[in-house]
Amino acid sequence: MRKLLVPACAAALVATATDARAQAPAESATEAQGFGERASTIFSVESVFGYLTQSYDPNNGGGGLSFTHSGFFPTGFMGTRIGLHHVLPSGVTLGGLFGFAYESGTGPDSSDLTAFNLGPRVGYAGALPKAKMLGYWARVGPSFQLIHVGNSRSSNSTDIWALDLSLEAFFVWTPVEHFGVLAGPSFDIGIAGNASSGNTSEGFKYASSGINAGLVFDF
Amino acid sequence: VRTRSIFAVFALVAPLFVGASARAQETLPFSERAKNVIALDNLGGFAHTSSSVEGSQATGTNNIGLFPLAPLVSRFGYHRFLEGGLSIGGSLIYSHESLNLGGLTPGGTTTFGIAPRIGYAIPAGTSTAFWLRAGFAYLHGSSDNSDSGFWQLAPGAEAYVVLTPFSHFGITIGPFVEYGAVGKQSSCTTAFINPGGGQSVCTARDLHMFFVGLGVGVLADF
Repeated sequence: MRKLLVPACAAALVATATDARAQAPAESATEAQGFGERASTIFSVESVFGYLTQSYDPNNGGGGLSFTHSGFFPTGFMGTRIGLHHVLPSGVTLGGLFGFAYESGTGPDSSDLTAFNLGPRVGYAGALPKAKMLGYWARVGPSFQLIHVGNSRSSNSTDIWALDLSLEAFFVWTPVEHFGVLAGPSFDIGIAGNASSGNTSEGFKYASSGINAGLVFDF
Repeated sequence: VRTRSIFAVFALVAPLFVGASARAQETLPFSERAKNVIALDNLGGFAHTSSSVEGSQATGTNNIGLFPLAPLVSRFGYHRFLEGGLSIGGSLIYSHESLNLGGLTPGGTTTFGIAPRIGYAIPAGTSTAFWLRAGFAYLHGSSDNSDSGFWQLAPGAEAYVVLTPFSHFGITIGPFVEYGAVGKQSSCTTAFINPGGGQSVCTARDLHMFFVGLGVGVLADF
């Protein structure tokens, strides 16, 4: 019995050690793969910190609205956004960005504001061959935003929509598995937009430019 | 025979230890699996903010969703875990914004703040933990083109449930509160005393800003 047990246990130990060694290169291989190669899903939190200037310019050339922000968590209708992307084996990414905010005042004559934005994106992600911790991610796609401003005491409301083309190019640093920091420039080129309030309606375009940083988690 | 017996016992037990060690690495709970945490607190959820200035009626807003319209609620922070689940760290608040409306530029505002926190994490399984934090926040705001501004010192706390489905990644969900115990808001106007120039006249009033809500955020630990 002992003669059988000892070789069996020894074989088990060898098998376990072999399994551990086999697993180690597999994990190393995963770590050796860079951004855009090591995972199939990317969850991103973007525009956490940086510089962003946004403008809503009427088509008739009149005075519009613009705001510039630097620092954490940009204010405005297109603030910090959440992204979810799928990575194809080729490095092409398909996904989008999403933002939603609702604010209402607590006073008796207060207004409420609803802002929604959606930005489908196609991109390409990869890592530098000789420095897998350093990656890149270029994306393009439309951005659509919808804004509603109402008032609790009147039926007057303003509805705004805007469509623009977004271009983004990020540098991605992935110091550990599943986590990275992205930073880079982004541009929005206005295509169309409209603001309507009551019987009045006015066309405008939304544009933005900036350099922003965020976090990415890839699984 | 004795040598063979010892070897047999070792051979039998060793794989269990190797397996257990590997599993422990994979299943360490939050606060034990990593020391450093970068946290984006309260990215979204529900937030009620109110501001009360001496001599004026209090104003407030309710926010749902992400918080681009309530930027003081969202926080970027760094925390470090010490032994026993204790954490020290805090959040940094900084923003500068300027508005141009119809060609008029009323001027920009700068907000700066720090919110140190001491916390304690309680594991509730391999991928769930409670993270309780308390501390205070100092906020300071100033106007670019006048002496107007505000400051506030506010005790605050958070009680988050931390979900860690993957290594280096977590989701925080839980209530937060911060109440301005002391603070001042100064409103300044320029009085033209003589044709040669003006003098800034400021009035300081007590300020109490209050933030409370249920926040959802993300964190990276490594």
